[in-house]
Amino acid sequence: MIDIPNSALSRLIEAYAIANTPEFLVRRFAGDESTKTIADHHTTQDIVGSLNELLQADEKPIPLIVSAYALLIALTFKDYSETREGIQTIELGTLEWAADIWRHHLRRHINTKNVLFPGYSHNPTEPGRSDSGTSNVDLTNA
Amino acid sequence: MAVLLTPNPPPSRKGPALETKLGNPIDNYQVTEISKFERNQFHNYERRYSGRIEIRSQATPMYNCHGLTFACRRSGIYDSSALNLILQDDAYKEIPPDQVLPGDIILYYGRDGDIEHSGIVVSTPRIDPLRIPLVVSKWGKYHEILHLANECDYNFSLAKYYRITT
Repeated sequence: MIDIPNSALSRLIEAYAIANTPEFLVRRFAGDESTKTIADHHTTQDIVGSLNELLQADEKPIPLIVSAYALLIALTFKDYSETREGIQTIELGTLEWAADIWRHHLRRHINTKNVLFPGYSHNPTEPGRSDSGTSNVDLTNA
Repeated sequence: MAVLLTPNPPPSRKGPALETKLGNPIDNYQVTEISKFERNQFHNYERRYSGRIEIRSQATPMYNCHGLTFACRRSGIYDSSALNLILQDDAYKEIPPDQVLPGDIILYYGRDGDIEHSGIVVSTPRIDPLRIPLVVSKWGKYHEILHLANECDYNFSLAKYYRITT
């Protein structure tokens, strides 16, 4: 289990307390050194494992919820090729803004050259095909 | 093709039918739970802004700041695209800071261009050269707060004022 120092957790809880939107939460958490430290010092697998562990708890007090958001946002620092499998294994439905946060992350950080929207091609020179032909991301339900 | 899907939002999200002036639906939902622990967190802000803010309502998660500003406190609006739709459909116009009047709204923008906070202008100083207005806004799940526009944890440096002019 990844521990977040109490001082950092207090800061994150304060930010969570006044968050009006998922974007605000992401900005404040991502700007907190503790979140980056988690990403730097732990593998994607470790973070996903800890996140799963937190979300499986029967009771979810606020520090646990905030820790879960911190881990989720730490994952956004990781290479998407590492996180895309792991994120599918996490039951994120219990975190109110998890889907919004991940969607926000995909919008901002995924290489749009490799995104294929139904009925639309990124490559203006060759309609109907992506320029790389690989790693298309279907965001239909995003 | 590798198909990657983001997790779906919780299915329990519900909110009243809200529409813009042009009849487009406004995405919104109500949150009903707030724990004692969450309520207690606000004491930190009360200490930090002691004497500089005034609490004007009980804490409630039912609406957020944007629900206060745009939805008559009925529900929360959490998506920037919904807010931009309201600004466009309801014909809000940006107002220069020196022309702000009570009733105008203030939007606090994040660095990414998203609207991280909003409120309603209550009064504008006539003497203060900086002309920073008093606003009422709601801070997350907590109280509605009366505060000077720059006395809060949101990004006042990118704040803008708006008014419906038509």
